[in-house]
Amino acid sequence: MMQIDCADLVRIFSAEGVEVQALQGLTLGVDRGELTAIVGASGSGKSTLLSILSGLDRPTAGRASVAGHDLLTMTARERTLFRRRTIGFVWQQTSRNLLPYLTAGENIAQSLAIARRPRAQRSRRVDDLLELLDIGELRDRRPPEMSGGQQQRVAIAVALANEPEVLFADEPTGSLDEANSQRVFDALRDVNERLGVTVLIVTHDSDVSTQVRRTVQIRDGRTSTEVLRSTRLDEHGTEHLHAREYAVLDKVGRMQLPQDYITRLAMRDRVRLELEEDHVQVHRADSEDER
Amino acid sequence: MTRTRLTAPGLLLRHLRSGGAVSLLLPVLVLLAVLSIALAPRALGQVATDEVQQDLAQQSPLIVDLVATGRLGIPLSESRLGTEYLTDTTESALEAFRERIPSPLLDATGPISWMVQTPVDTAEVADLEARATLSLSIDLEWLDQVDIVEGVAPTGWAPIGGVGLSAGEPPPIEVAISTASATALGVEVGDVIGFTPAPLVVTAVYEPREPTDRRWMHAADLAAPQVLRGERAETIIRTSVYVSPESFASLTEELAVGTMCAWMPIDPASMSYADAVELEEQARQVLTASPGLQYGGELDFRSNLPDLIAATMVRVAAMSALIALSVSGLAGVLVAVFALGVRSVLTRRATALSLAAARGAGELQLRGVMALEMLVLSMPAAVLGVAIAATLIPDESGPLETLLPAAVGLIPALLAGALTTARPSARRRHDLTSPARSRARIIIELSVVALAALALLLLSRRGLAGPSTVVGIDPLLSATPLLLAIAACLGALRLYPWVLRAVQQRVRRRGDATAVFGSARALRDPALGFATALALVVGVSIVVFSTVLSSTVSAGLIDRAAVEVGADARLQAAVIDDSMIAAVRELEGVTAAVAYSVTPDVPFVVDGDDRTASVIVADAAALQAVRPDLPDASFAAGAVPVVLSSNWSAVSVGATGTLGEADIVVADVIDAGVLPGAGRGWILVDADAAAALGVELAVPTVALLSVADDADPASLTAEARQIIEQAQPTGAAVVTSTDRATALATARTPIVEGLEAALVIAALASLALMLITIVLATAAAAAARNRLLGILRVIGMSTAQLRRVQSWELGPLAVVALAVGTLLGLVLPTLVTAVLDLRDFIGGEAVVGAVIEPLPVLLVLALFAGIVAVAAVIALALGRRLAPAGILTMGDSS
Repeated sequence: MMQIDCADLVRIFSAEGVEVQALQGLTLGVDRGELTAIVGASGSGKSTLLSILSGLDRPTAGRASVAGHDLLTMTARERTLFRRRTIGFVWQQTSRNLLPYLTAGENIAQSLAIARRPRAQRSRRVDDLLELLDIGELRDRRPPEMSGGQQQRVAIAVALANEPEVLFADEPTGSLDEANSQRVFDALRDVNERLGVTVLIVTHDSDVSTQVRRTVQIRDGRTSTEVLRSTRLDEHGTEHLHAREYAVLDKVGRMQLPQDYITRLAMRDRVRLELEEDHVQVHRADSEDER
Repeated sequence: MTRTRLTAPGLLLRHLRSGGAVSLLLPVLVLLAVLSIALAPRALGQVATDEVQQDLAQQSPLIVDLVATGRLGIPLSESRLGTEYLTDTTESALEAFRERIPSPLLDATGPISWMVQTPVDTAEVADLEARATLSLSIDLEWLDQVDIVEGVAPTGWAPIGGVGLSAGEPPPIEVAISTASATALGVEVGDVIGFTPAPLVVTAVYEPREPTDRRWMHAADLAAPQVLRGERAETIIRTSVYVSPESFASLTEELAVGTMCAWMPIDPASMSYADAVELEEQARQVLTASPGLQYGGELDFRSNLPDLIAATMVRVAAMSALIALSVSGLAGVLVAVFALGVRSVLTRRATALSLAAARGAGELQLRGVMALEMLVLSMPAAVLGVAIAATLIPDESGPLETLLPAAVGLIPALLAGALTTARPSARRRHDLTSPARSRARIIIELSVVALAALALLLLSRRGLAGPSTVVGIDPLLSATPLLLAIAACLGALRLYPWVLRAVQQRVRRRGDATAVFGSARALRDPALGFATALALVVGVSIVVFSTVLSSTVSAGLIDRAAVEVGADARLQAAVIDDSMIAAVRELEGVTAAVAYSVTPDVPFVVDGDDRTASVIVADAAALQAVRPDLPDASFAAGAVPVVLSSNWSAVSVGATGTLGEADIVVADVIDAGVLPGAGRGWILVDADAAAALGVELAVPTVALLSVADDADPASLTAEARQIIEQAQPTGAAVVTSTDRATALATARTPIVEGLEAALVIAALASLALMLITIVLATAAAAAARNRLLGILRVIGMSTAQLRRVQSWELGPLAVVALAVGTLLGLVLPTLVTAVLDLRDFIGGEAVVGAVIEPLPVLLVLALFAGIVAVAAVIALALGRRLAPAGILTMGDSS
């Protein structure tokens, strides 16, 4: 069973006289234990998707479930418990991850307190988490006394406090330098590998997206393409990273062609498809076709 | 390395400690609010106690004290009783009666005094022109009350067996007489006065030891003679003399038909208004109870004490109602200010709240945490407030009542619980969220308006409450002003955008960039919300309301004093004849004077109906000079024109009839209260027509004076009084006088002063709360404003232009609040005077209507404008501490 399962997800924001369709039938599936990156330009709907998946926002239509919880039918109470037990998240701005007046240890403990974890276990759990992320020395420091990368790693520890099944990260490395970005990303990958937590990272950091096995591109509120990476051993025994880009095909057969294909072949308005034995050819509609 | 506490309370404590200095404002406000709320009833109780005490102290002890008259019971079987009968039986019965009075009345009641007197009988005094009457008094304690200045105290008397007296002739009774009576009767020690059953011999002349002691009021003729005028205008000197208590056994026959009187002085100084209800009830019980004297003795106590206390309770209730009216609005402003304060704290907590919500904190958890934070902030302040209040003015109320004001400390917590938005919105998109949940808003607004309309309807249907029906604080009356204010505020806020839009179009045509920008911002992104608008509208209305009510009360008091005195000054004496009035007119500063007589119970006929009235005879021209407001009833010839008091509803102007032997025609009908001392039904006739009436008329006893504006009425009245006093016939009753200033001062009782102080305090408090409101609201908008100002400065706006843009933030709302609040403040007093009878409070006969004096109203409105300006300056100065450059680089936190 898929850990994250969205199909035909629609989210419409309506204000007086304005309607914005942020998600226009997005479909996405993520398996348990997968580390997936979602990339997309600003306004493509990736943050809206993350808000919905983390139970902060409700979709207008479609189907969405995370770890077996149906996000459309959840009551407020279920939603609260869902946020408390099922998921964890890390946002881009550290101010939204950590309370500045609590130390790292206290920030983690707060999550535990919210979830009403027994008091006796808290201190131990805090130490375990700090150790897991290798930031034990930060326990009694408050966020203003930490670097950006340290803050984000504490944020990951906070997000993991209640042993979530899924961890969402929204631009976790957005405001960090390269070295710190790498460290934070390593932490996320480490968590994914060691704890088996499903991790979904929203990013536009190309460095990050190349380091994950699966990258999903969102365009205009839809998943457009996916890149799957794998390592293969060649005949000489050396490891090669192998990436292959896929377009996403929805249930009714719609798909998006990558933008650079379209520009390179100057495709406009319509294309000609030709069914071959084991593939489909997409041709630019030539002038002779027009006739 | 210190291990920090990871428990939930520990974390909460860390959370609270990070609140910062802004959170200090709320506890201070709570402290002040609790202090005022705790002090108000105490102060009110103090004022009410002062009122009771002063009112009772001003009244004559004759009507305040518990006074009893009756007769002494004397057993018929034993004809010769010793003094011990008086001491043992009567004294102990009366003492026991007093002991039975419950507290608190007992605490205010002095020891019981009593005496017995023989019936008043004619006394024969040699060489006395006047008639003399006297009675013999027996008072067991009389020797403690007087100082004998001449002679020796009388000894006991027995009717038979004197030495050197012929048989059948009883020996004289030894008596003691007061110096004043001795002088009036022309007797001294050793003189004999003819009396029955035996002649009296004066053995002692005494002076009251304490002339101001109340006993000399209750037994006045023992201190000084009473000079009366008999039926044939002869002078009667009436007095009492003491005989020895030893004589009791011999005087039982006379005493049995005489009178017994007893009195218990009431000391108002030991009364508290808190006991008023009990005091009234207990006093009424005393009046219906009987001391249980033996052998047919009777003693009935009477006193106006319960009625006086009841009247004070009505006045205090009226004051409480008026204060509640002014303060209910203040409560609204206070809640609005609390809401602003709570919101500013919530804004500071927004990140933490949404973070906690996103981490899975439930709605109840978040609301609970914020409520708890407010509780921790405000409850210590609330308790401190209660403690300070209890220290400042201690009272005996129970612990629950004492602690109740501290409940104000719960308001911020409740507001925090209600206002905390537990929605963990990932990012708030202003462009995409609906600005108002308009349906809910419409429903709430309509229900408030409906509630206000309902309250108004109920009030108007109830109409003017009668004097005795107002008891305590009327919740409907108290809540109506606030409901009206909220409704008006909602209406104003609905209209506000339309007005602003019209203004915007106008300024756009004029092409003033800052005005266009400022008005557009005020319209589309208003910095100040409903709470601010409510606080300002209600605040202005309270200030205006207090001002108008203040001038209404003082105008009512001035009117009452004028009606009570009847002119600038009034004098009353046994007789005020033409020569005395002429002499008074001569006084410098007296512009006019008139004397009139009041002859009671004169039958007259009008419209064929027989009636009775007091006939007032005055010189019409002179009366006109003193009282130009009265109709002219000058008599020339023919039917006598008369002015009738309006007690006979059917009588109309022009009606004819007869009075005595003269034909009369009704020249006018006016309110009975305009002529003091005339009673409720009277008929005014010109002195020139008096002879034509053929009715035996009383002598003039009342004089009215007009005094020049620059003269001092009090000193002139004193001079006039002296003139009239000197011209009085010997032994005539005392001249009394009053003038407008004195009457006004008397009318300003403690509760009037209390109300005036309360109105001033309410006005000042609402001005202060408005100041805080504006500072809070403007400060809350500081971040957004500074960001905007930074941008505007970058695109090249000058400081002056920026200031103009800023003025649009507060300006339009202040103007709307000024308009709506003023309107409301002017309408409310009219409403209040229509449903609340201010006569309860001010006294007098005339119904008191709202009096709007433009100058004070304009003054307080100017004060409001000043407050707005000051608040704006303070808030902007606070906001400016953030440098625009820094704000621009901070970026959008959302």
